[in-house]
Amino acid sequence: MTAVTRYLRSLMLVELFRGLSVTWRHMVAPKFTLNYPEEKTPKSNRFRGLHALRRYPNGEERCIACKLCEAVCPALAITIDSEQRDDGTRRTTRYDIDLFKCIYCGFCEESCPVDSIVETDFHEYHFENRGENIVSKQQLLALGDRFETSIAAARRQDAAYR
Amino acid sequence: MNAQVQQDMVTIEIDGRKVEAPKGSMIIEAADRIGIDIPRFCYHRKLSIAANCRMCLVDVEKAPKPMPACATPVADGMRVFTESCRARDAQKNVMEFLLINHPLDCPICDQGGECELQDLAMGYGRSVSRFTERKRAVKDKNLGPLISTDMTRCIHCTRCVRFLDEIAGSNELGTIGRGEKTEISTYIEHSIDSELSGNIIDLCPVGALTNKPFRFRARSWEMLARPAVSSHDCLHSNIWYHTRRGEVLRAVPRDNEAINETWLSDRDRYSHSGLQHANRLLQPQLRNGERWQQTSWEQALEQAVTALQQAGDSVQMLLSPQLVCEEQLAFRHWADQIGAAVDWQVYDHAVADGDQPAQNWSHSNVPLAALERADAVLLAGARIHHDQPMLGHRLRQAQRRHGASINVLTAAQVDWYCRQDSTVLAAPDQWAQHLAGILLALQPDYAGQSGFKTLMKAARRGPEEEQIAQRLQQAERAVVIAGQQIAMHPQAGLLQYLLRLIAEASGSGLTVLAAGGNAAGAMLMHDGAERRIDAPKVLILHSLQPLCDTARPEHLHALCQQADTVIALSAWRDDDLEQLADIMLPVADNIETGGTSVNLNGLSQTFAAAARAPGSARPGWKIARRLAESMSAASTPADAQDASLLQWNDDDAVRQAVANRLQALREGVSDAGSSVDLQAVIHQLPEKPASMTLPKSSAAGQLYRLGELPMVRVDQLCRHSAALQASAHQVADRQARLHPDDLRKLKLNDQARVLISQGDARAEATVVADAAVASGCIGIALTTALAAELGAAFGPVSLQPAADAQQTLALAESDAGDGA
Amino acid sequence: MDMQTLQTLLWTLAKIFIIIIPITLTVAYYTYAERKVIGYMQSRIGPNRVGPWGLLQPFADVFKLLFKEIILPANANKFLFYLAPVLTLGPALAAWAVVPFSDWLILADINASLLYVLALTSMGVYGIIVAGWASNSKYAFLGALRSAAQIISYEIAMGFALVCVLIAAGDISLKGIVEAQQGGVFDWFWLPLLPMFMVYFISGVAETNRAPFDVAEGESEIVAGFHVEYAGAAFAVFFLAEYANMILISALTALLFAGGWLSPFENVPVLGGTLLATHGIGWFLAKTVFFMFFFLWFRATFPRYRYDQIMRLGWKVLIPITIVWVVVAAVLVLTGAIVRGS
Repeated sequence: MTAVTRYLRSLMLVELFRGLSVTWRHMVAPKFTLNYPEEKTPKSNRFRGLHALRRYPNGEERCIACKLCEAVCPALAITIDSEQRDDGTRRTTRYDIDLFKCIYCGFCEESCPVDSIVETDFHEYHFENRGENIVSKQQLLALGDRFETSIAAARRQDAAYR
Repeated sequence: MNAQVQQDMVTIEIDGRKVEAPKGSMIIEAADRIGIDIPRFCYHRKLSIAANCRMCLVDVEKAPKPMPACATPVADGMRVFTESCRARDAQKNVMEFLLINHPLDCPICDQGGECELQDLAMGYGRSVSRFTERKRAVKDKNLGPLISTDMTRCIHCTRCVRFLDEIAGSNELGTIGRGEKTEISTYIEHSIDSELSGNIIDLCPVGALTNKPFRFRARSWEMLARPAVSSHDCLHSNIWYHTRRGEVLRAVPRDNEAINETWLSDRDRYSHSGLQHANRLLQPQLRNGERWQQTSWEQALEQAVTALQQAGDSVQMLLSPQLVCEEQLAFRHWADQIGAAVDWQVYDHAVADGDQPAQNWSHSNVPLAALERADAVLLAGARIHHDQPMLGHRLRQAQRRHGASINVLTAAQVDWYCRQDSTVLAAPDQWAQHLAGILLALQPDYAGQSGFKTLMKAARRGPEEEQIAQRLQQAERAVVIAGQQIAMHPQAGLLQYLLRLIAEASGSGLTVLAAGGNAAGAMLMHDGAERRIDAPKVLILHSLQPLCDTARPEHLHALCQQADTVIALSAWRDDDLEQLADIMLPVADNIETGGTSVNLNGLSQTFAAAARAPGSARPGWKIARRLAESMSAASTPADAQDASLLQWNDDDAVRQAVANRLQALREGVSDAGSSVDLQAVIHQLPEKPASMTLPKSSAAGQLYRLGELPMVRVDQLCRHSAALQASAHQVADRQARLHPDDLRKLKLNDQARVLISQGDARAEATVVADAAVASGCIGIALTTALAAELGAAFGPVSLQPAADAQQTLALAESDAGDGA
Repeated sequence: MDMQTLQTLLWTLAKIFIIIIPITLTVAYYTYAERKVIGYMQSRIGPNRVGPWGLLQPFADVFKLLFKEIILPANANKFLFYLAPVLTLGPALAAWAVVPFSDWLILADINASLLYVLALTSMGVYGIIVAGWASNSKYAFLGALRSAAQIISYEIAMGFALVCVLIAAGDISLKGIVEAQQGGVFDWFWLPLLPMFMVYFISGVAETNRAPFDVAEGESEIVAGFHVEYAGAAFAVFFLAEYANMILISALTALLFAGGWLSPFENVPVLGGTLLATHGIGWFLAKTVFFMFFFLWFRATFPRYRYDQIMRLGWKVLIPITIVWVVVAAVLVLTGAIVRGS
């Protein structure tokens, strides 16, 4: 009996019509596509985008060359050289992040004991020349200065949960 | 070597495991032997027991409270538990206490990643602290340019205090204050000057004492440890060079009980920074009139080959005795090929043809470990703790542990941290007389022996000499040490021979020391070859500065001037080389080449290159090979067949060639079974010199110069190490030290400017009064500009006030040609 | 040549252009419609950037294709390489000559138009085979042969379906077939020849190498089948030909089974008297678009058939059904179930 039903079903193309009905329902359902870049999805304040090196309010760079970020980076994207500065403090002479190696995991941010290296929410950038993927200390500090307001705001919002 | 007294052994049980321990030893020693970890801070196997950290508290059965494993002697049947509740609680609580005042410095502390406190807190501590009060802070002390301090981190284990008391002997650190206010300090503000001071950095379990030149440079996990051997002295302390991306960042001792135990002298520790000196020669350069032009290897080698071919066999090679055997052998082969002369004995006073050189390599029939058990030592012509710090350390331990008497023959007393039981203070031109006196006291027969008569007539046999002779005779394990000043002395042959006779007469071991880290290795590679030729047309210098790395700077200066071409293989662009050389080829330092070296006990050690040579610097043996290829020789001597230079394709071939030669030498010795490695080959007793007469002593009004090689300027690498040059062991230039009595006799004031005349040379200097200098002696250090101007390390000099200088100079110029 | 002939010639040319240009535009916007419709079925919107709602996207695509370089493969037969797209496009466009848009809007009203159409669609295979051969590439060649085999297999099923229609209609001209379907929705041939309707449409999808029968170009997501070596304008011509074929099949389905230009509201009570009941080109176009939509719907819904499954379907399923139904159709006609005309 089931063999006959199966044969008739296949002759009547029953499953084909069921498939067609699925796609029909999808076609008439409302779409959620956003018109990027005019419309954007909301970003969490923990969003991990481009890196930046922060400063203290008095202008002193936070980074103390402890190299925890370099050690924890799973992609070995961070390279650090450090030295004693003239005023006796521990500072980096080189702090490079290779943005091609970086996987934007945020481990460096988590490991930093002084909240120096952070990931901003800025992600709409591109490179146009070879070599621009390695951001130096100068560039990272500049990024930190540029985004400090949004960084501080995001950290403040998230502070309740940390 | 293992002549142990039969000890009583007891059986104890630790964590259920039975172990046999010698009676009187501590639990912690037994635990370490069977691999049970007991956490500790203040205990160190080489230092005395303090038991003040309390971290090693263990649970001993039947004891009312936890016992410190480092201070509890074993008893038969004792049962120890290191993982019981009581032990664990003790560990956690002690750790909590230690962390109370310890600052949260891990990110900025250099010890992070290699910190005993971090490791033990992770392994044995609590994860949460209950301390909510304020921590105390301690002001940092300035201990000098080598050791950096962050005393807030100190946990008062007192390892540094005990080290400087017991091992270094300088007693420079101590604890002041009590309770929470305890501080480790020098009390009065001064730097730590001991030559072994760097070891407290290794000992400090936290980041309180750290390596100052290395401060903030790197983390332990990003460096590679490369084993190497130090070539600054003839002991060859074992080192780990920590490198990052091919650059040496710091040096750390490698354990070797036979040589340096677990210590490293400051010179070995801090010299590597010379590798990154700004003056590093990166490209070959050719002289262009008064200026130097950088060029390619091809051009430089071409010019070198042209000059060499024109010179034929009138080529003299001067090699630093610090170079590894591979370099020595490479130049040996090349010299054989072109018929050149090779001299590695640059610290010898004898430079003229026919002069019999002294023994310019270090050798001894007393192993270093045995030196520690000596009971009487005669130290002649040595500033031992500067020249060979680890040897000095052994002697100090001999005195401290076994009450050895240290007897010294010297021209300038040293403030060494050792009691010097007898001191014969004499100007260098009187040394032979004093040694003859000691010999006479040991064996009066020598007075009548043929050849000795003149010498023995002049012998000085005073009460000191008698005492020394007596002590040597009565001792069971006496050692006679001929220091490196003797090897540089004009009468070196005679002095070394006298010391040999003294050793034989008293049944002592004999140690002959000489400057040059791998002089023994050099001797083995160049055994019996032609040393010097007159007026060479081409002079090749390898890793030495002609005005510094020699006992006769004036002689080398003359050689350089009269040669047509001077080819300098150097890793640095030094002023004197740039003045005297014509072609400069960048060569890699020993650390960057690797190789084999032979120490004073005949122990040969091989190490691989630890760092990458910068720029286009090459190992010296490659340069020799390249030049040898370019100058295709008509014939190759038969004895160079086994490792013809032209077949040296890579490091392995080179090392193999050296190993083969050393093996051949070992097999050539009949009594090889009784010696350590190559000891039988290098320990050759000094022979009787051709002439036993004493040269005439300095005239009235003249002083005899003592040329000491400063500790931090022994070779090019040290001289370029900023840390060493900034340290307390630095010597001031343009200074001459003499006894205040001599100053008065010459009517000179302290700190006066004088004109010093030595032979034909004249130079200005400042005189300094120093009561430690023998009368009739004037101390002018080698490798200084003053020494370069004056000449030979030892010899008569005369002084006159600088006010008369202009006159004298004018006179001298008009008298040009009249030698003194 | 006299005025009369010249006039006829010019008028014919004009009529050709009136057909060709709208068809080309339709093809262009058919590609747009495909991307939009399939997008919507995949819970996204299709292209919406180029022009309002993306309406200028086809132009962007065309310009891109025209600016691309046509690379002639090494050792390829140059003449055949350039001939193949033309051979594919030619029949596709030529078949439109006999398609009746309404009872009088026909370019060439011949009395064997169905035969003509059948002949021309069969010619399309040549283009594919020549393309595969001329590309001098293993993959192109194999892809072409597979495609050719697929097409001729389904030609037979399609042919037999058409035979059933012929039996039902009694006329081999397309105009006649449509006229034979007069009398309301249920007089159109889709009802009495329902299996044939489905077989014809399925074969049509297979003929045009469309999903789910697109093994020739799909499997070829990796290697694009017979047109792998084509780029730029030549590829554009193949593309054009494929879509023109799709529209043709839809039009034919509308004509043969759905009553062509006949209105469905002919004899319906309320709407029978309104404008909606008028026959005309509007209904023809509407029905064609309706079937064109099915092409897109099928592509979005069904997974791809494997080649052996295609062959099996064609030979072992569809052809037996069609053969049987020829007899059934004949019986239906003889018993008067199918009435020709109204």
